[in-house]
Amino acid sequence: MLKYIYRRALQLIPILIGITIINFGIMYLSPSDPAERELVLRGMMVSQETLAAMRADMGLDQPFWIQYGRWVKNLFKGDLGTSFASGRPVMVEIGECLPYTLSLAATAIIMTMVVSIPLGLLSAVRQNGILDYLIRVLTFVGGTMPGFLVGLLLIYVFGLRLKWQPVISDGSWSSMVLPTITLALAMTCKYIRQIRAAILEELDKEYVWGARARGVKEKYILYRNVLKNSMLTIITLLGISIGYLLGGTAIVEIIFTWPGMGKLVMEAINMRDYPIVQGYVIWMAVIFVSVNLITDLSYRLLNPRIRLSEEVA
Amino acid sequence: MAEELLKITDLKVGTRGLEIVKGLTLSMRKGEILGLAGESGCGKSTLIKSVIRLLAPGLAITSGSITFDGIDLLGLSSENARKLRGRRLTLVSQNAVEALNDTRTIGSHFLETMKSHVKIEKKKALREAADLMASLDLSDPERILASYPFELSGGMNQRVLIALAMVMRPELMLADEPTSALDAAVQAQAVSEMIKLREKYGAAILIVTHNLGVLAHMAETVGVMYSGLLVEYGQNQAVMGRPAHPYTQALIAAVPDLQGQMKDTIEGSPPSLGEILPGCDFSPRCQFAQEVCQNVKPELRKLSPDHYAACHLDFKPLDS
Repeated sequence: MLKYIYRRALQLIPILIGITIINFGIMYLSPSDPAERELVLRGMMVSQETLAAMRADMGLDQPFWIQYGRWVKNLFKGDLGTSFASGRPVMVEIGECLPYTLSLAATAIIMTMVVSIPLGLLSAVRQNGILDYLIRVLTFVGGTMPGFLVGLLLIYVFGLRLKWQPVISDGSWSSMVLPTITLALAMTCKYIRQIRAAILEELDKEYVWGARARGVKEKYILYRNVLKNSMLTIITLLGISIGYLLGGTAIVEIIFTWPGMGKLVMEAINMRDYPIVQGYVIWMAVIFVSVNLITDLSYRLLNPRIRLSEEVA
Repeated sequence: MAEELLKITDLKVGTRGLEIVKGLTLSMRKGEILGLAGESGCGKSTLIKSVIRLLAPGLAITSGSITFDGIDLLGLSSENARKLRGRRLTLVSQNAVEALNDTRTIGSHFLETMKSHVKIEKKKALREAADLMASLDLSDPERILASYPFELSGGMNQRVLIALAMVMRPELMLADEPTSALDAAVQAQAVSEMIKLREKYGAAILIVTHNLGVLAHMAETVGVMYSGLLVEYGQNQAVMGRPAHPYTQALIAAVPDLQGQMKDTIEGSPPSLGEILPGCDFSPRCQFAQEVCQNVKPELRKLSPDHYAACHLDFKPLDS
């Protein structure tokens, strides 16, 4: 098991090299000049001389590979560079946004799971009943509503009309409610439908019938067999969602002025703030590789066929 | 005559006006091994699924009754039917590998079955399961209990499934083609395991199969089904040795022998679902069919004390 984790961690290296080179290349080729922007920002005169001086100062006059190499060298020292826009270290900028992104992702995932697993199960067990139809219609509508629409509707109703929630979040626990619901709604609807489908497929298998023929209690069949086997589907969904949420959810964060990773990187892209964007890309790569790893490990835990074939091999 | 265990009276099972089982009457004694034979689609699986109250969705029992040891099975609530299933009557299906959950050990299958019926400690339950398997000559029961179904062979899974069905010592085991997916050597093991069940635990067995060899070997009473009805019924030696119904004769003649290829196959096919013939359902394929066969449904008639057939023809049973 440890060997497997170690091998998977090694795979991270080429992925990171590839991702950073591509990202660095795109930034390098982009038409906007950060040196010029920096001069404007400082209120200095933009001329050939000041521009050249600023470029030399920022290291932008050197060839691509030198710039990239320097960045990689610093990365190993735990230094992701300094933000062009704020002049503060990238590590600090990301470090400040991360707790907000993590807490929002956690609440959204928990809410999604708590609502979608029981409802998906219920919908499958009562297949073609009134409740099932109701759940299917509602999840269809909820799943097709775009996040910004839901967010704005929630702000209008609970912020402006009912005044239950602040319109602009102050980072407190209570101001997480609306962004959490916005994120969780679409996910919950998607999850309910997928969980329902997975459970129906599982209920159709012969072992369920076999268990019934032995008089096994329906609750054992449902929770210890069907739900357990459906967990593979749920975990696959979860892996994708967690990766997506930890990258920050730009639209929701901007609507609710939530100071997370998505908002940070959107602003950095607008400002051509290369170091921040690079730091973000590294973060995303690490997230996706580790979430994939955790997903694979849970597969092995849940499915003895995968687990045992690895051990023999 | 021993006490009656299962009685099926004029059972009709169908879906939206189409009848699959068309008024079948059958009875079984305690500890009896009854074998039902017939082509695919003759309603034999539907019949035993009706007994265990687990018909596929869409299928319903439209008339008739099934009593088990005096209990009206069709009148039971679904929870009471569940309590009876596994504890007093049980079913073994044909695809053992698929009938077990691949992500759980054989031991868990035994545990959840036992815990569904009685309060029992895990250790005690597993020991009982191991003892049962040992008594059925399954070697190394502890290893089997710790294994996952995919770690065992198909034949081993089938034998485990039979033991699993018997863990609560039910009085009646329904077996739906329990040997069809197995090769000949393993078939013999599964059959002898079932015979042992009867010897050791007195379980009655209703086995449904198209394998006449298995029936001839283990059944005391043999029934032949055609198109949702019993066409011949009686003591094993009587039915197998002196088949009276032309369908039974044809079925026995069609069994391939070890020397040659398939012998005489039966031309044509049974009436399709919903096709209602005024006379005998077998008459279009029957080489002896006469006018009466096409117009009047034959009833089961007594040929000898232990032998019944539903045929208009009044010839003596053939000696085969």
